[in-house]
Amino acid sequence: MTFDKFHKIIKECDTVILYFNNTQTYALEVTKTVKNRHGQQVPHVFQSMYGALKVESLVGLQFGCRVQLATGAGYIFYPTPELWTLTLPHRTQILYTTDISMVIARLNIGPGSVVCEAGTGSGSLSHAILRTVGPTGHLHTADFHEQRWLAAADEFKRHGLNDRVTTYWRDVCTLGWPVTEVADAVFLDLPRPWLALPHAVNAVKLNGGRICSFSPCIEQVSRTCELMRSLGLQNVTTLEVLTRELQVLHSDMPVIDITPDDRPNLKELEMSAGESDAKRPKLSADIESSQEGSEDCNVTESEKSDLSAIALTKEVPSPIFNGEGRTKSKSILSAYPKLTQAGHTGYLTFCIVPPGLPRPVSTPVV
Amino acid sequence: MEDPCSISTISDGCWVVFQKGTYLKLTKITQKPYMLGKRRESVSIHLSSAIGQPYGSTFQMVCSNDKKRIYYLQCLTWEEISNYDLKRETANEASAFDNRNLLGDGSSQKLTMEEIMALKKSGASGEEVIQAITANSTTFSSKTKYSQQKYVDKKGKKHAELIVIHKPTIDLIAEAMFFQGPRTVSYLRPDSLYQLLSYSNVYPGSRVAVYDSGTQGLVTAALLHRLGAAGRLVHVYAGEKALKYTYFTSAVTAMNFDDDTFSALSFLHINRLHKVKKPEKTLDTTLEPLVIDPRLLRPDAPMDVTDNGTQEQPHGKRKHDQDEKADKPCARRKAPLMELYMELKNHGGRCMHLSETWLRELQVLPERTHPLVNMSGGGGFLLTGTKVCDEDQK
Repeated sequence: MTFDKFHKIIKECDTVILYFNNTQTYALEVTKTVKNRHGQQVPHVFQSMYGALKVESLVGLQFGCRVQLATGAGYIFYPTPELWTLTLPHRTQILYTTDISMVIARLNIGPGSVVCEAGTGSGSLSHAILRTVGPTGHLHTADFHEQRWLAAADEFKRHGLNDRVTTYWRDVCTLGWPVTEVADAVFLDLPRPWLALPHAVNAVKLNGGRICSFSPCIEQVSRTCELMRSLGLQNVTTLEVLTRELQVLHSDMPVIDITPDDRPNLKELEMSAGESDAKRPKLSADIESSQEGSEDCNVTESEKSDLSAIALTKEVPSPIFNGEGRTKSKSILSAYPKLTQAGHTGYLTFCIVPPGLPRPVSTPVV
Repeated sequence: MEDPCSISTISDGCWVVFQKGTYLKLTKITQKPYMLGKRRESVSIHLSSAIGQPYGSTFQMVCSNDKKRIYYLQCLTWEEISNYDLKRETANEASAFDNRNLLGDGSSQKLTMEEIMALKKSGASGEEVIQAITANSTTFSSKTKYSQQKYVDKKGKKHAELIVIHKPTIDLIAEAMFFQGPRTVSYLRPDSLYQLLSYSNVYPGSRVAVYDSGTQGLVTAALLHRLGAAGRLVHVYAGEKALKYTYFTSAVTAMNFDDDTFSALSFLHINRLHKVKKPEKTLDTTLEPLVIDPRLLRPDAPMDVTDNGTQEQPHGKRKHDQDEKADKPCARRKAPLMELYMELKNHGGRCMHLSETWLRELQVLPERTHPLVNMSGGGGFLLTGTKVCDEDQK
């Protein structure tokens, strides 16, 4: 009974969100007992990676509080439709918040709106619609699958949304909705949306409204758009919307110390090593000056040439490869795109039902 | 209470969204003519002739004065609109299989610009002009059927006279404003705005605070619409006191809200935030608190908002940020939001997400479906998160 009206303290039968991190987020119903797979009532204990949580113990705590478990801590969040979408039990594929936001806004749903939806599915979009229409609005949602219909109806009841939703076990493609000329907006998520489209127009108020159809495949969209235009629906628009999520974190970036250096480089040294001895003292001096305190070293001329030979093979002090430059790094705040992300969910097709549009088919018999 | 949105006819002084083809503009119905188009080809339309017709009606521009190019609007019935569409069909015209015989030497159109202008001035309808143009195009018949359709549609955009006057709903306002110049709404693309509305969990009757600057009140208007008369919206502002009144010339005004809905809106200067008192009575029955910052503040500033809001109602507050900076054209930056992300994470922010949305529109026509050639490169970054209880409050 949490979705209908906000409250601060967790009560029995509330649905709550247990949040550990962005991938470990769970919806729990605060009950004393729960049915196990043998159909027996057993104490409701949630087993998480961080230990067991006796769900009943949440009663009386306030939303947003921290719960300490055996090996880690989580937080209890108020169930917003967005969090519900992330945690709900899947009975079908669902719509996610990116698409849902687009649907609700472009269908112009607001307080008091009357919306028709098909099919109900797992109720992801339904919860977001019910939040936005509020207690003065209404959602008529239909699904042709009996078990899904029953499960959704039960869920709405448990979430305290019963007053603002009517669920139907019904195939809207053949029968349409039991209500006509009442809806401000109609949403279709059906395999063959074009069959339900004339019924959708019938459901819309006479002074106009909006229709949206969600389809994963372009062939469905193509057929739907063609029918929309021929029914006289206006502003037929098809779009895709995706979220690009960025991971924000501090990371180290190596810093290369670039200081101008006029000393001969490796190749030149190699070449000069093979040349006459006359040039050699100059080379040695070169290395000498680069090595601190080497002037103080008591080395003979021959030792100096040995030294230069060593330098040639491995230890030429180059500004790029000196030890100091290698350890230098600075911390930067960065945002990384995810390695994989959703590339396609579905096409959203929107259209406007103009006022006074003739209704395509006669009112279906209930 | 009569919902203002249920008033469905265009009235004098109300705001409307004017649509001609893909052109969208937010405007007000007045007795003054509405100027449309560039200087040389501009026309003036008397929008007041639409008064009394239902919102969403389609109108035909009818010329009332040839010389001054003044038009008034005539409401079309459904039959007239469908006839209008039928005339555009090029089904009976001769067409080619492909474009092998098509030559682009610039000489295909026999009508000159002056002749077309003269034809328009003589009172010919848009459709007649289009027909004259296609009839005088020597290459029209050697175009493919699809190409012909495209040609007619292109000419239609310029010469057609059908317009639609919509009720200003938040999606149309957001689109019209973004269409007219993304800069005027700090590059807040409509889809980003819609994400913001979802993640802020705003519902009828909730209590919301908003810092909204540089979007012509678009975010404020959208929130007010979702809240309804039962909600409370505190508009937190910075700078001059007078600034807050500019909202009454913007998206908030354009929504034609009734007085009840308007009374849900109040203003609070950001320097007065510390004076917000914690309500004395227990909060069990009150509504969920929210702070939405649709615009990026400096990292120190929003924390004030958060802290005070927390003091007021400590639970699960959400805080949103839309990265925008009004003064600079390169406003779609994410760096400030990254900093804010870290800052909020250290101050009780959980379930934090930094994201941006990607939006692509498609042309869907038989055998010609493809994404539109141009798309928006960015519509702003969004930071969302949930504020949890302070440890000592548990």
